[in-house]
Amino acid sequence: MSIVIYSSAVSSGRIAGAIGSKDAALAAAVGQQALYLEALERDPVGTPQVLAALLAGTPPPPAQREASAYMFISLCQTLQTPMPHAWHWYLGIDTDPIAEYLEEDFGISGFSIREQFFSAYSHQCPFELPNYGGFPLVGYVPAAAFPALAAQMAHIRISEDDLWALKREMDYLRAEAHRHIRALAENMTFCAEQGLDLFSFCH
Amino acid sequence: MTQKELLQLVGQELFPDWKKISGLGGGLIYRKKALEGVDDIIIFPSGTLRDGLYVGTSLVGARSFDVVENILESFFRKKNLNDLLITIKYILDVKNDWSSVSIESAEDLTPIYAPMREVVFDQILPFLERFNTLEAVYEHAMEMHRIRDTDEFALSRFIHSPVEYRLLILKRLIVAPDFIEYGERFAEAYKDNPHWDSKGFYIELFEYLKKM
Repeated sequence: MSIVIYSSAVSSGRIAGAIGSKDAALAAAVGQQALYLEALERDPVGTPQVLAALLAGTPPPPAQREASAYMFISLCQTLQTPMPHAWHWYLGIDTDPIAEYLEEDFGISGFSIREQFFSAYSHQCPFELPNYGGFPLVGYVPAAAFPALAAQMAHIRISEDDLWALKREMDYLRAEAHRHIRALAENMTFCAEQGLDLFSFCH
Repeated sequence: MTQKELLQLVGQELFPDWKKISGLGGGLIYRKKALEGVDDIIIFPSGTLRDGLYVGTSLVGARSFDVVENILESFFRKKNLNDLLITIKYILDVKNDWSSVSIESAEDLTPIYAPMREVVFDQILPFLERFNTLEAVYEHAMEMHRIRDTDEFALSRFIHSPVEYRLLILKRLIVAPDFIEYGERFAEAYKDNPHWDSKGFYIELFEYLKKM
């Protein structure tokens, strides 16, 4: 089974404001998200109720916690500011080479996507994240963390020519890792400049 | 042992002055400049076996000519296509079955270095070294055509696919008299049946080469 990681850049204040707002227009917008539509196909009756409960700020009953967490992801995706790069990384397959080549080629050691996105800062989220002991897993990085993260990666400059040069040598693993690292560095800078928090999801 | 350690260990023993590259799917790739504008590449398949790793016995030796691959690369970049930029290759299925050895430590590699060395340095590299010029590559391809009435598909064991693209470039670069005739044959076929064109830019390439 492959586990994927993706993220939304959005102010935690906007998310906090949405939860409990009972905003019908927002509910309609969330209802257009792919994750919501997939859930709706599986459960046409329960899914709108779970979304309504989330936007009403009502804690989900145990049986609806997983569905509610997916509604939270759809909410983040609705309110997000698109980052320069949208990533969709496979845990291990993509994240291990990112860590490996960050150290080997850019001198940044010990950078773990899983640790940074899901553990290091999640306790700082101003509201409780919908983590209920299984998938999906939701992580949080506050805007305040990004200037330091961006500075750590400020020396990373990877051009299209650089990526093609690696592909030319058949160093596809490194080329792919460098493409992800470029996305990581540029998105960190984007979040720092825009003052956005980052919510990440893993399932 | 990790794939990367295996890559380094085999590299230190057999290819000390070659570039060592982790291939997709765990393959071990060694690359070295053979001549000005020409690189040699040796690829061993590799993966996990029982508690360790294995080195496969289906080897590929390849030679990449910049003058050919630079042309293709410019089109690949424009079309955002990924493909191996190698001009010729030599595929070898080795009979000595070292692939059944589960490699858990450096010592496990000791008995298989000798047959690996023999295959690479006595068979693959001498074959590649026969082709130091584009003319030699082209002559060998044409010889395969003449002797075995080989079609483009069968030629793909020597010229890397898409064969008709690389043969077209070769014909242009060595100024083969049938360059136009060969190009038009495929161009007309692909014009009528675009889905036969595996990369989708044969006609564009032909036009580019005609103006070169």
